[in-house]
Amino acid sequence: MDQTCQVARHLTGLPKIMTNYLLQRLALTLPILLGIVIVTFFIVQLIPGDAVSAMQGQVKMSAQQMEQMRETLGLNDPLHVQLGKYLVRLAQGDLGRSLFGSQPVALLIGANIGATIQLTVAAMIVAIAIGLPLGVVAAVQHGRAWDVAATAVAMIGVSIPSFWLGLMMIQLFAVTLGWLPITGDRGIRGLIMPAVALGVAEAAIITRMTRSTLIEVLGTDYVRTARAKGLIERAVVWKHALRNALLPLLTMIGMQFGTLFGGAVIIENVFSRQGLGTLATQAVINRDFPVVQGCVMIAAILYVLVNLVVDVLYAVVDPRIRYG
Amino acid sequence: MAYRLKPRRAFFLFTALWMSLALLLAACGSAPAQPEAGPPPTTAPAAPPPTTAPAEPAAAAPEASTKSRLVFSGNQEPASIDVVTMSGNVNERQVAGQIFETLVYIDQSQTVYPGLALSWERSEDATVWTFELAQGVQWHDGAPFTAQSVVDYFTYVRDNGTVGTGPGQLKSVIGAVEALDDATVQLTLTAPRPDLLVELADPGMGIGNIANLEALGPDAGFNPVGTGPFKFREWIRGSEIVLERNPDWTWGSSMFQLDGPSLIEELIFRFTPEAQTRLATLEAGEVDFVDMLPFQDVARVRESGQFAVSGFLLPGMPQMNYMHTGLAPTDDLNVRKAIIYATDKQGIIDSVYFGMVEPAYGPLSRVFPEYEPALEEMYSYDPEQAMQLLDEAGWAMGADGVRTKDGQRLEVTIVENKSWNDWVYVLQANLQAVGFDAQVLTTQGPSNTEAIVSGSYQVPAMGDVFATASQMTRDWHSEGFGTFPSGHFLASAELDGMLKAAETELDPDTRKQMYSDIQIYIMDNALMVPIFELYFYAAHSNNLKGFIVDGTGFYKYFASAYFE
Repeated sequence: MDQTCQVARHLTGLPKIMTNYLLQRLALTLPILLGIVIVTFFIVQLIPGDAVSAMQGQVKMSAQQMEQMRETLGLNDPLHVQLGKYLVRLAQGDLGRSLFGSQPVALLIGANIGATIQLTVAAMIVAIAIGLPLGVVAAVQHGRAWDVAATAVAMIGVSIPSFWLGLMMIQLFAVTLGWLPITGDRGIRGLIMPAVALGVAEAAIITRMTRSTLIEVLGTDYVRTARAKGLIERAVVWKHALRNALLPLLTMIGMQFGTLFGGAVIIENVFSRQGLGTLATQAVINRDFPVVQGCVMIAAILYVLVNLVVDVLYAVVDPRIRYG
Repeated sequence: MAYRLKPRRAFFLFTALWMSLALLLAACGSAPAQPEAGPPPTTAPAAPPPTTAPAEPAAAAPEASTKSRLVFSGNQEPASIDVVTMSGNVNERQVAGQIFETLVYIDQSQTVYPGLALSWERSEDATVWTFELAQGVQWHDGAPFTAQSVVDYFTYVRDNGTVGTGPGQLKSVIGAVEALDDATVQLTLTAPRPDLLVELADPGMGIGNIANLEALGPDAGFNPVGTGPFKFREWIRGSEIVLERNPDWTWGSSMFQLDGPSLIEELIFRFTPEAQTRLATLEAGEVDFVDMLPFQDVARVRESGQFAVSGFLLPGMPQMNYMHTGLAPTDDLNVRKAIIYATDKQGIIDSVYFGMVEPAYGPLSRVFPEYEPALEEMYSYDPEQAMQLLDEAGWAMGADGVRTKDGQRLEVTIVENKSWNDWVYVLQANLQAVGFDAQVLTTQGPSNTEAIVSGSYQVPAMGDVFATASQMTRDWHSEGFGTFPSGHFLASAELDGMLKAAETELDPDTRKQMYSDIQIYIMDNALMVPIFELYFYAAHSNNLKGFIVDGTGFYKYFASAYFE
C-alpha cells in the first residue's frame, strides 16, 4: 500500500515540481534580461558619436536637419529618459526600427535568427559527433598511442581558427572538388561546410573534456564493481561510466552554445550566410543602435534558455537530481 | 581489463581523421601563386560629354546562349534600395541601376546616351534644361510614367528634408520643375550647372517612384518599383536580391542596343564581404561576375585564363591622405610638404597593391580633361628633402628617433577606413623613418566618417569617386568642413572662389585652366598626400558579354548582357 502511494506520488508530483521549477527559472530570467538590456544600452552610449552623425556619410543632411533628426529620434533627451522610453517600448514588445532602412528590428531579427540557430545547432551536432567518440577512445586508451593521437587531433582542432578552416574548406570542397556549395544554397548541403568549420574547435574541447571526466569515472568503485560483475567493457564504458561523465559535459556544452553564437558571426561572414551575426556586425558598423540592442538581447535570451534546457537535462541524465 | 578498439575499426576511424586533416593541409599548400606585378590597363582620357543627344545607333541584338541567369557578387549588402533616399553604399547603386532608369546614360567612353529623356536642350547659361521624354514608358506596377512623374521626383528632392547621396548633390540648385506637356519637362536651376548631364547619369539619380515612396514610406526601399529592365522579385536578407526581366521594357536606352527586353531573365545579386570567398564563388562556378577582385589575386586569375579580368580606373579624387591645416603639427606648411616627400608611393604600389594601380600626383584623377600633368614634377619621394624641411621648421631629431620642438613631439595620427586604406601602414613607416611619431587609427564605415568630419586627426586617408571635375567642390570648398568627405580645413577665400567660379564656367578652355590653377593651389599648399589612382578589378565568366560599364568605371548595367 505504502509502496503504491509512493509510486503514485512520484508519477504525479514530479511534473508539478518540474513545472514550478521551470516557472521559477523563467521568472528569474527577467531580471537577468533587464540587466543585459541596461548594460547594453550604456555600452552602446559609450561609443563616440551618435546614430545621426553616423548617418552623415550616407545621406546629405544640413546641420539643422541633423538636429531635427536627433530631436525626432529622442537623442537629445537625457540618458535615463532615453533608457526609460526604450524599456517602456520593450515592455510593449516594440524593439524599435532600424536607423538604416527603417525596418522593424523584430522583423530583421525574425528574418535572421532561424539561420543562426540552424548553424549553431548543426555545429554543435558536428562537435558532439566528433568530440564524444574521440574523447571516449582517448579515455579508454589512456596512455596509449590512440590517446596521444586523439589528444593531438584535439589540440590541432582547438588551435585552428574557424575562418581559416572555412576558407580552406571552400578551396578544397567547393573550388577544387566541386562537392559543396559556398553561397546561395540554403539547404543542408549549404550548411555542411559552415557547420564543420564552426564545430571543429568545439569538437576538440568536447574531446578533451570527455577524456578527462571519463578517465576519472573509469577509476571509480562502481565501475570496478560493474567489471567485477562480469559486464562486457563496452557496456561498462558506454552505459555506466559515460552516463556519469555526461553531467559536467552537459554544463560545458550549454556554455559552448554561447561561444558558437559568437563564432557564427565570423563564419556567417566567411560563407556569406544570412544570420544574426551578419546582422549584428553590420549594425555595429552602421551604429544602428536599435538593431545592436535587439541582437544582444535575443542572443542573451537564447543563452539563458539553452542553460535552462541543460538544467532540465540533468534530471534526465541523472535520476538522483530532483528539482523543487 | 582495458577496453580496446577492434583494430580494423580503429584503423578506419583514425585513417579517416588523418585523411581529412591531410586534405586540409593540402588545401593550404595550394595557396595562390605570387602574381607578377604589371601595369594595369590604361583608360583613355575622358572626353567632355556632348550637350546634345547622339544619333540612335543601329540596334543589333546579339545571339544569346540558353543560359539566361546571371549571378553577380558584390562585397556589401545594401540597407535598402531606393534612389530617392539612397545611401553611399555602392552596391545599392549597383542594384538600383538595374531597376530604375536615369534621364541619360554615360558609358566608359564618356558618351552621353538618351535614357528616359530622348533629347534635351539647355539655355546658354546652363540654368534651364528641357527634356523630351520617351513615350509609352510604364512603372513596374503598370502605372504610366509621364512628365508628371519626373516633376514629382525633382519636387520631392527639392522639398524633402532628407534625400540620398545621388539627388542630394542637386538638391540645393533645383528651382522650378514644370511639365510642359505629357512628354516634356523643364527644369530650372538656381545656378548654372554645365555638368548636369553627368550628374543625371549617376545610377543614384534614377527617377524614383514618388507614388510608391509615399504609399509605402520607408518600406519602399524593400519594394522598389522602377521603370528599368529588371523588376524586383525577392530579397533574402543576408543572402541575395533577385531581379527578374521586365518583359514590357521596350523603351531602353540606345546605349544597350536592344530592340526588346533584356536577354537576361533572372539577375541575382549576392553579397560576400570576405574577398577570398567572393573569388572562390566565381572559381566554383556559383557566380558569373565578381566585383572588387583582391589586388593580390588579379594576376593569378588573369593568367589562369579561366576568367576575363577587367580593370577600371575610377575617376574622381585619387586615393590620398588629407592634411589637416588647423591642427599641429600639420598646420605648418613645411611639415605638410615633408610628409609628401617622405611618402614612398611607388613602394606602396609595389608592396601593397602588387603593381596593379598607378601613382597619383594631385587631387584630380588623370582621366579628366582638366587633369594638370605639371603636378607630376612637383614632388618626388625624397626622405632627405623631408628631413631638411623638418629641420628648417625647427623639429630636431631626438635620441628615440622622434623629432621634438619646444618640448612637443612630432606626433600625427593617420586615420584608416578598414579594408579600403591598406597603404596607411607603409605611410606610417615612411613617416617614422624621418622622425614622426605616426600612429594609425583604424575605423570603419560611419566611425570613419565621424573621425574625418570631427577634424580631430592630422592625416585621414580618403578617396572620392565622381564623374565631373566640378564635384571637386565637395572635397575642397570650405562650406564642406564638418561634412563628409571634406578634411583639409583650410578656410581659404581664394580656393573657395576658384572652385565656385570653375563650377559654373561654360567655356571648356577657360574651365580647364581654372581647374589647373585649383590643382596647383592645392598641391602648392600641400593639402593632401597623393597616393595612387584607384583601380577596381572585376572578374567574370569568359562567355559573359555585353554588359556596360558606366562613366565612373564602377557601375555595371546588365540589361544587354548575355552568355555566348
